[in-house]
Amino acid sequence: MFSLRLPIPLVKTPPSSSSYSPYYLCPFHDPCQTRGLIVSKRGSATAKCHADVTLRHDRVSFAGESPDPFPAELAAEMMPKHVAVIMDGNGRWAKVKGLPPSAGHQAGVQSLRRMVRLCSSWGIKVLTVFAFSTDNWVRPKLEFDFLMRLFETTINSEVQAFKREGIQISVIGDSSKLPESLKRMIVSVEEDTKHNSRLQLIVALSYSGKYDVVQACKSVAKKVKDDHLHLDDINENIIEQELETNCTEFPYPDLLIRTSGELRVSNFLLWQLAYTELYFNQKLWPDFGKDEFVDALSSFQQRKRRYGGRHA
Amino acid sequence: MVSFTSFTEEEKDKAISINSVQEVNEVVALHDPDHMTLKFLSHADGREAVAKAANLIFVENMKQHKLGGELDLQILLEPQLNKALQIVGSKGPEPGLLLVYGPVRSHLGFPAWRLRYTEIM
Repeated sequence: MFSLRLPIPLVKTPPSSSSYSPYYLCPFHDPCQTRGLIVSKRGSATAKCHADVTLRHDRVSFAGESPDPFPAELAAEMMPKHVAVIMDGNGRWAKVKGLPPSAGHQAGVQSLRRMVRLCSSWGIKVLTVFAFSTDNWVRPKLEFDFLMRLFETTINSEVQAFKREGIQISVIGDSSKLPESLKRMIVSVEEDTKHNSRLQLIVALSYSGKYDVVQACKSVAKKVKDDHLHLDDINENIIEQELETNCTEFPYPDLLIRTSGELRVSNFLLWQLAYTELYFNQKLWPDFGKDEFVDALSSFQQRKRRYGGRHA
Repeated sequence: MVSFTSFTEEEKDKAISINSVQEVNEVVALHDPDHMTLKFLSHADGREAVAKAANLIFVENMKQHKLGGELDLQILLEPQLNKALQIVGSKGPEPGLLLVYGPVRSHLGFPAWRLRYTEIM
């Protein structure tokens, strides 16, 4: 008898209070509607949003009250709690436009701002972004230095907005190689936003999945040495508690989005992605917008429903 | 190399099967250099294997009384974990391509340690 054993139970959606819900409808946009959405996206991209969105229990925004009303084709109760993103394609985006790589990274920051705003508006609790990998240290020093300065200027310019909008910032990764000024800024922004609870933005800087597993094993080893832990007690759960994603209540992403058409997880959250839904999108990261995000979320919800249907 | 994932219930049978498959694999590899390797993995080759490998490293270090200072922790690096995974029987090559069948677009606990740069379809 073949059986499937999953150490981590899939998130089960609570039974709907009513048998029929308009949110379960998945209308397909006709070309006219699509063009309208494109115009709307460009409009919202250029307009500055000063609206102060208050936290609501129903997590459903209403038109006019929020800069990003909840999409009609999505079901609020089936939204992922944790979304992870591999923001790939900045360099290629710049290249096809005849611009230097730095312009691609700057455009990538704009995409990240948009993603943070959408996650905040739509009730996603955790957003983890792969900003810089330990495997990226081979990049040219000029680009590396630019990236470090970009991280600093971005954090500096956004920290007030983060505090105002209830966003908590956490940074994971091997910080030993980062510039001192950036390290001080990280400590400061984590401290300033630690009480925020609307959205937790986890930024993976100088991070890799193997690094995380290795450092977790080191932490466990230290506890064994200090007699806080016995060898017989070492199991999966003990190691999980030492992974750097223990900074959040939801350390396991429900959905991973990888842009630029690559089909790899590229040494990102290796341990944590064991049962994550993987979504690969062709768009380069600077071009990944609201429509693409809605498509990814819709795809996620489709899979959950179909998966659940097998047990019905 | 193509890898498949399967799941079993019996821990004992699984342990025996893993050892037997390894021995057979080594014998075949010696006699047929142009062979293609077909590997069957189970749930125990994933996170459980990493925990076992970490435990093995700790045990060896405790035996050699090498956990006396901070420097000793530095030996716990990727090569050591790779070697320990091999000893517990769960090390393997990193597949170039991973095929996922069915409605779920997830790798369902495939050994994450090997998936660093694997293409997933």
